[in-house]
Amino acid sequence: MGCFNSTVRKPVPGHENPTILASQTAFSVSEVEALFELFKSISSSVIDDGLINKEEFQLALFKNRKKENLFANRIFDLFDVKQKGVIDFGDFVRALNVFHPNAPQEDKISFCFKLYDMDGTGFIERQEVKQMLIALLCESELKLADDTIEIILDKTFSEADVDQDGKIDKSEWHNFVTKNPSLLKIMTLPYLRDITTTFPSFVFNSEVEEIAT
Amino acid sequence: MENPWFQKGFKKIETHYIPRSFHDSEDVFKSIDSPKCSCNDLNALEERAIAKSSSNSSSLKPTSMNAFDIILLSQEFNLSGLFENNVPGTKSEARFITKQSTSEIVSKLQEVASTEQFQITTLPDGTVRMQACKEGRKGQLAIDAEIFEVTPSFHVVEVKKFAGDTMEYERFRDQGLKPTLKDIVWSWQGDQQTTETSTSNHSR
Repeated sequence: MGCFNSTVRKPVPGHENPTILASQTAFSVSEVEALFELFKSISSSVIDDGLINKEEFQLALFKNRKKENLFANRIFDLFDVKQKGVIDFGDFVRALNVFHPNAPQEDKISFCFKLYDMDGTGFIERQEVKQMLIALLCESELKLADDTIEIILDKTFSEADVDQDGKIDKSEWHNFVTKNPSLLKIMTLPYLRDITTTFPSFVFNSEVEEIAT
Repeated sequence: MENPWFQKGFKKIETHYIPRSFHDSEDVFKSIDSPKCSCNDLNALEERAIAKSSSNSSSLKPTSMNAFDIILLSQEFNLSGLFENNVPGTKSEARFITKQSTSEIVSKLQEVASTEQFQITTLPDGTVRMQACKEGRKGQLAIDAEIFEVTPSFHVVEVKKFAGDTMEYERFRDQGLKPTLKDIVWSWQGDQQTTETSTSNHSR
């Protein structure tokens, strides 16, 4: 329309150079572009501004924008490294990178530690774990007596909290997780390996292709 | 399998399952690798495996579960919701917690199996597998009940469909399994009637 050349592409909000992001992560350029498709659909679901806010994140995770919970909040905070209250595309890719099957185990262990260290003190305190347990049990409608919860915590902390100071530090966590590798299962998303097939529409928007024509 | 040698007489094994503990068994590999392997051989293996593990129900050692495992049970930490279209949480798994010991749980499951005419196998890793003797809409229904020990008097049992039709599984779970387990179940995850004093009337 008008006298402009209408094939000039407007910069898409939120878009960061895929080549740069690919060089910083385990993703290839086409995988970053596929992630951008996913990012676009999530970030436009409530407010179309090229950024993922808390509501949009909840909507993507739970298919329910109203569903708030302790864990989604914590994960959102960890994705939102610049603490702006929104996740941009770069944040998105760099955070998901940790969940890539090829990401270093160390990064996964570290991210997982931060996940449970809700108040960011650098330690996973017994009280924090208790809070999470109670919140989780409440949501799952599983009822447990307080002393049962204490027994569960005792058992866990006797194994994990080696110096018995009531909290789990980074190295104790490292050892604990090495002995219980199933705890890291959530830190790997096999979907990320097949991202280009899950979001094939990127083929039509690929910057790489456009440059070639 | 690229070697044409192995393709001769090779039949894809869809309906046979061999208890996990025997996946590493030399017998199984020897049979599968042979180009002469047939479904009959696997049948026989399966029967031997089942007979063997049934007699080992007393050696059932459930996987231990700690506070973080329980937290992860909630699936709330699961980011795969970003990639999946279905609402997370609507899965064909059910969990219950019980104060009974492992052997009491197993014997209750055996009671369910004999009432519903299911064959029962107890696997050494703490999973109890129940398989229907009759063919259902999508083959024989098989259900796994995996037992996790949190403390010796507190167990989490995860029930899920292993094979067969989902609707048949759900019917079995709600009409066959739940009522019989009522005495030992302290709480079902996601169930509204979760207290011990619940007067739920599942009639059979």
